[in-house]
Amino acid sequence: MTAVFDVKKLKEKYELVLGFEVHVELRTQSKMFCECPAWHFEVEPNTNVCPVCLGLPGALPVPNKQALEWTILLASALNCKINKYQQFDRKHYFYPDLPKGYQITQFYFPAGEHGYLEIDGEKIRIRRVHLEEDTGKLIHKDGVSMVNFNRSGVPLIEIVTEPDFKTPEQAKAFLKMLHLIVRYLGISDADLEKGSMRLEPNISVRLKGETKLPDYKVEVKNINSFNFAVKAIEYEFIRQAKLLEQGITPEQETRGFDPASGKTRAQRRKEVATDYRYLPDPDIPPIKFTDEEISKIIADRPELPYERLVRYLNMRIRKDAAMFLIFNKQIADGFDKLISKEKGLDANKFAVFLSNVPETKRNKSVEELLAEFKAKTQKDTLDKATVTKLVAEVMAENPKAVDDYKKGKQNAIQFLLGQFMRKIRRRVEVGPIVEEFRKQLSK
Amino acid sequence: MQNWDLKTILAKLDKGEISSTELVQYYLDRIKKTDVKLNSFISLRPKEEILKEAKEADKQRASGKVRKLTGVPIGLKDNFLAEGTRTTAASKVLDNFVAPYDATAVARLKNEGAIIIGKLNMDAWAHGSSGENSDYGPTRNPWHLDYTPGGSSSGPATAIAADLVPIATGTDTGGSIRLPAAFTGVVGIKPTYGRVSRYGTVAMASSTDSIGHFSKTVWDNAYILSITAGHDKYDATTSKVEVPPYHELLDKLDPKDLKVGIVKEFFDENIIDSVVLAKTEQAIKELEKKGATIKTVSIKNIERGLELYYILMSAEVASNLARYDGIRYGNDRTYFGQEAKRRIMLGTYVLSDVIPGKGLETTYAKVAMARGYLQQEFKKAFKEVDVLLTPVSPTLPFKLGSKTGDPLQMYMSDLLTVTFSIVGVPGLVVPIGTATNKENVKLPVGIQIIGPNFSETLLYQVGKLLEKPEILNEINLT
Repeated sequence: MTAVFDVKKLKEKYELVLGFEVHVELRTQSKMFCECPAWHFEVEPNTNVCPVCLGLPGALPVPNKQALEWTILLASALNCKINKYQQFDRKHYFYPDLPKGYQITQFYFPAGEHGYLEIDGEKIRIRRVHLEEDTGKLIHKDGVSMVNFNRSGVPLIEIVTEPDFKTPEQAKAFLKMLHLIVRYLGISDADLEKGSMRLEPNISVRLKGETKLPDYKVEVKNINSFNFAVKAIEYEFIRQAKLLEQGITPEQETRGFDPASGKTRAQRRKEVATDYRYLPDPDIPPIKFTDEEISKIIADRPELPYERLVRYLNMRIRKDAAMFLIFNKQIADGFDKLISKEKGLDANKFAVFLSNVPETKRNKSVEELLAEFKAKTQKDTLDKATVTKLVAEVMAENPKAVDDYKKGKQNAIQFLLGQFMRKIRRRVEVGPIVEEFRKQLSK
Repeated sequence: MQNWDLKTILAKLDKGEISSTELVQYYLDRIKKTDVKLNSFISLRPKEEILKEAKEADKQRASGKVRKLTGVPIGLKDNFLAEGTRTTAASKVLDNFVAPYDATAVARLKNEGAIIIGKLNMDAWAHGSSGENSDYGPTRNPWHLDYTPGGSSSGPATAIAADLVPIATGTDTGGSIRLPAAFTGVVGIKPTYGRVSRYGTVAMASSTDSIGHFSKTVWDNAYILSITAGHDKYDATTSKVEVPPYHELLDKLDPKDLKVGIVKEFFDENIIDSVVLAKTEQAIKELEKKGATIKTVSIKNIERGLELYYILMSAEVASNLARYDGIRYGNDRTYFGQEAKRRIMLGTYVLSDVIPGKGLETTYAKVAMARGYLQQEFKKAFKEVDVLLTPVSPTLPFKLGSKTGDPLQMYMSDLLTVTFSIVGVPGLVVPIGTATNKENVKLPVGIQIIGPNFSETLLYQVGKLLEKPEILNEINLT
């Protein structure tokens, strides 16, 4: 027996409680704790491996300095408080793709905490930003399960938000901005398709007006696009609301998203912190940063997309055009270069022009696009003699309009102007021509 | 039994009185003859390979290319990975595991021309104080075959005492070098934590695991440590403190400048057997005669070390053994022996009280704090004295089988060694003589010399004043 629910009513009665865990794989030269190359796409399976990332007896982890610095960089971009004292901890669980039986992560002292990211004027709080290592990859083929350890030990940043999102669309805007920040920092390809950026919404549902967090949450994995994230959240909201409506508390679990059906499916029961038996990793001495070291890392940070947006808005660029620019970094970089070079160029008009360039022409350089922009917008000024001569000609050819004007029909001048334009077939400054008409017509 | 120490061997090789080929042949013959009884080796490398390397070493020597250990045979405790050697850590879990790389200490020894003879027996995963937890049978004490040589480095200590190799490596997490050194009458060092790289040794408890060595004399031991010690980019816990040529500094100490501390809490008749106590006190008297100042010191809560150690160690053991899942190599977890299972359960229990946001309230965190407190107490003590002297074990070597039914009794054997392990300071054990037990069996006695971090030079100097390497000639292996 299936109960029938009115979706509209569910949406009126219940509200979404939504937070995110986002994983970003860093594109450092080497892995997090060994010298193997971190790049693992289109590489022969199990070739980028060594005793450390295979979890062989006797192997020890040595942390990657670049990865530590990049984590601080991202944490600072997300307005986090940076921890000067950082530590790596072991998170224990058994899984064939986890060669040591534990994952090395930052549990007790993450790189950054208590941050936020502003989306359309609303602050989404960031609970923590920490560094850890990726696992290997399981491949199930022809009835056999295999493990590829090329990905094992690749540096991974985890960003955890507070459950601050009100709608799936707001979450999408946040995720896109986060993605953009990572790309601006140049620390990851952040390719959702390849899995170098992974989105995991934590979803629960409560009665509208309720302030307490529900005592369960559902984590959804296997989401490889921003739109799928929206779909998964919408699906989960309805699924959980229906359960609650029947008096059932949804199971605390991890579910997988199936893009084909748009549905989620239960994968495993979610473990709680105690089950992971966190242990400060005795193989890695705590890492202590000085204020100067942290300042230096942050000082080298490039301009961030949200900083660029503010700069553009201050330049009186229309918001939609400014958003277009920050999301198209290459174009924006060219734009910035030309704006400082070309005096008198109307930044807003040029930005709007760029944002309207069709997809097919985006491969053109910004210089080429500027030439097009100029050709389209800049007007010739005709020399006075030509104007005088052409105005006289137009008047001679259109005696009726001249007559009408003289009888008091003011807009006859518009007709004459149109005739003038047809004659020259160019965009020209209109002012001096109208003036010349007035002058000759009043004779 | 020729009973040559390393210094003698190096001199003979230098002078051409013996070749490396003859040397390895001697040890291989002796192993063949006696190790059936002793069971100190788990695996021997193929004889042809060993002889080939010896021949090569002889050639190098002839051409004047001499390194620190050219052609010197060594034995490795079976938790050291050496490329191409079967490495079991004495557990059937790793019964068929062949090491694909060299431990840093092994690489450094090989680099100086050492020839690996084989892999030595131990308590499985280094869990134990008697060698009886080995899945490959217990090792027997060359002083008397009914007795334990101590553990967990049962094989290395026995091999040195029985003259099966002149030098052996060991690991010491809570006493695993010091106890067997004392029980067999040889020299054993547990260096400062972080002095020798742990890379490539099967981890037991990472925060106290120390790599050290067995030898017949203090000089030999100092010589080997000067090769293996030093920073390693593959072990983030190794120190960059400079490594002195320990063996060249042995005579640079005037005993009159030495202030020796006697730890009051460890000279208690209720804890220590009277024969052991008497022997230790005699050694201290001899040192006093040579001019050293002797002072009794008290270290607050030192006796709590054992309980702290068993919490800390079991937690780390449970974590470190998690990787042995039988998926990539080795056998599955049903192959773990009883002691490993016991420690995995204990450790899993210790680590099961993690509460998010309450980082410092876990058992492990509390023990870590207590450890910091003990370290402070030791710092205070070392302001008063240069070194501490203590017995190594509360008893003389005990009979095989006498404690296997009572794990707690077995853990008590570590009472006098574990505290120094969790504090991280170095400890050297040297033989100081023999004593006769109630059953009229003559057994060796060692003494433990403890100093502040990175005081290995001083420990060897004091060890040189105390050692009685000649007792090894009293071993009568028939």
